[in-house]
Amino acid sequence: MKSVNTEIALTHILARKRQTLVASMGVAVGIAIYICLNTLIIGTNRYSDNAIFKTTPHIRVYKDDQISQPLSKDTSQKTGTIVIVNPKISNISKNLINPVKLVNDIKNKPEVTAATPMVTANIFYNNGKSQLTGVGWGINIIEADEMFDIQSTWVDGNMRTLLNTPNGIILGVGIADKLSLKMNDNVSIISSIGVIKLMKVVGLFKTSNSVTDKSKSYMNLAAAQQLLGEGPNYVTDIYVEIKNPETAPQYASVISDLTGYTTEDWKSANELFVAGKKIRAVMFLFISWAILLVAAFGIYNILNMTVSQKLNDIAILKANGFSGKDVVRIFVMEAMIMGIIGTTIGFLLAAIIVNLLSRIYIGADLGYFPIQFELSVSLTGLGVGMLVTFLAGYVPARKAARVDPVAIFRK
Amino acid sequence: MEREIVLRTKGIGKYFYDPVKFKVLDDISFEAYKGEFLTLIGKSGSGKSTLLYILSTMDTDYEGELFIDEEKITGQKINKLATIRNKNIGFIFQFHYLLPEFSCLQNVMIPALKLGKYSHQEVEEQAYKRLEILGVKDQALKPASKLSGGQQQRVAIARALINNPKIIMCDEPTGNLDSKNTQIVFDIFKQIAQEFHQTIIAVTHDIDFAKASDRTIELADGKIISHGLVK
Repeated sequence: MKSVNTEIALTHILARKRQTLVASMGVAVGIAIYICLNTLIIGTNRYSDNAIFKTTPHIRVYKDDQISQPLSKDTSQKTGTIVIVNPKISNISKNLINPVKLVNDIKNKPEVTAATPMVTANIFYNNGKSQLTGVGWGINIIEADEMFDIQSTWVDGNMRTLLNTPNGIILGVGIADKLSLKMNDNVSIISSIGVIKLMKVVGLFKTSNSVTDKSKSYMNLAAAQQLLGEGPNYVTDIYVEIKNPETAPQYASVISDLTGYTTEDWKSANELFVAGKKIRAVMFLFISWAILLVAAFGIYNILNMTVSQKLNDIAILKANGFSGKDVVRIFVMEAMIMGIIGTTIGFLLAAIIVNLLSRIYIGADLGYFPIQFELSVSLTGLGVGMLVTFLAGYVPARKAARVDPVAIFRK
Repeated sequence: MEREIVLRTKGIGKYFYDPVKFKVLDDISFEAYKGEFLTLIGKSGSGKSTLLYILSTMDTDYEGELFIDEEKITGQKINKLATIRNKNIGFIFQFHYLLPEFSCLQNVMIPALKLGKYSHQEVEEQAYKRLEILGVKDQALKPASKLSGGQQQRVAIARALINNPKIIMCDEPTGNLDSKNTQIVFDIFKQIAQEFHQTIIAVTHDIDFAKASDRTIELADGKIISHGLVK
């Protein structure tokens, strides 16, 4: 059975349909913008995270440069020998010792989803007299593709061809353009230590970063090792992918302890990006709450007015045995009805806006606007909407509950 | 014959503080009996309305003691008082005070629905019965604001009766009614007191109305100057 409080609240609402609708529309717009903004921020973050993870691993394991140490550390002791110190980067190989075991150890960690060895070599691309500098990534193409989704940047050629072509190379389109290279052309590569190798173009890729396209190339691990004049055990980096990228900073130290080498997580490698993300989050949060606050004031205002106009009715209800609590319930319920109507319309509005936005074509490797319907955000939006309307209704309801019927009747 | 006391006051006094401290009621002690039609009269400012609001339990700021049905009302919590009002007291005001957005039927039903003793359907039947007694059954489904003053007052009486309260309190119930409607209301009050044995306490300045009641208590300057004859 409907309680009498509900019945009274509903009658009040129905008696002032237009005001109810206006207040509800305020909430609807607020909630729609709240959901849209938060969906947008999730979409853009997902896109930009993906863009970052196309070039940066979650965690990178490498051997850091070491500064040479003086032979005699203690100069305070009066041994009579004076050591002249001129610290420099020590000329130690950057090889990670026993890389196969390291990779296996890392892979055995439960949090780790993938790990792949890497050799990076600074190289020159030559075609005739023209020369370009760049970086060659010696990789296991299958594992690297799983990690960086190299295939999505693919322009020409087949990934598998690299596996079957020991001297194959995949070039950024910028390099290919400048050196006027096509598929299956040969290119002469000179490494920083002077090794010359003739390689065959088996693929072309294009990222959203033109600097990358003009310098980067992929090749087999062995080819990179040869360019550096090293054997098959030479690995400079191990790239690690973990289940939750957000925990990378913490997990990096775990990997560091495991391997004994330096680790760098993607957040510290991209501090500017992480800071930008934080600024966006704060900004969007601020805007969406400001709009919700305006909507809440709409409800507060209308209910406050209703209470002022209904002082007589409230006094009658109280004379007939309604307690302060009942009066609070009636007016809070009125607010909640407006809130429910508002959040429902807002939710539908948001769904339509998100749908329209997701059809906007942006271009580049982005394709369509990076937005999609996010259930969790929508549910939060509904919850926040109800909370805000409850608070906006509670304040005038308290005022109504405090109405003194005697003061009203005596006027 | 010993009659059952429904309402009793003991030394009730009240002050107004605005603009200066002023004693509106002084040592008011009286009893109201079951089935009695009691009127309170007095000049404007004699404190009769103030007394009625104290009796109604809505005004809690007074000294002395109030008993309804031998239960001490003074000092009870506000929510408890609301329940007591709902169950034991019916109100009729000078300006009828119906809820304008509701139909007459709903207006009558609201106190009973709040009481929650009967189902919605039973309450509706009872409300129709009350409206029929008061001759406004045909207006039941109209919005309260569409009725004439006399009709509204009768709906208000029906609402006061719906929970079969022990006491019905009226503040100038015939204050803005013509003589024909005044007579109707008066007859209804007589009937309530005699047939249903409910107590009526009415504040009025209508001397004829008071004379025809069972007993009249007269106030002057916050004091009872005549208790009237207990019939």
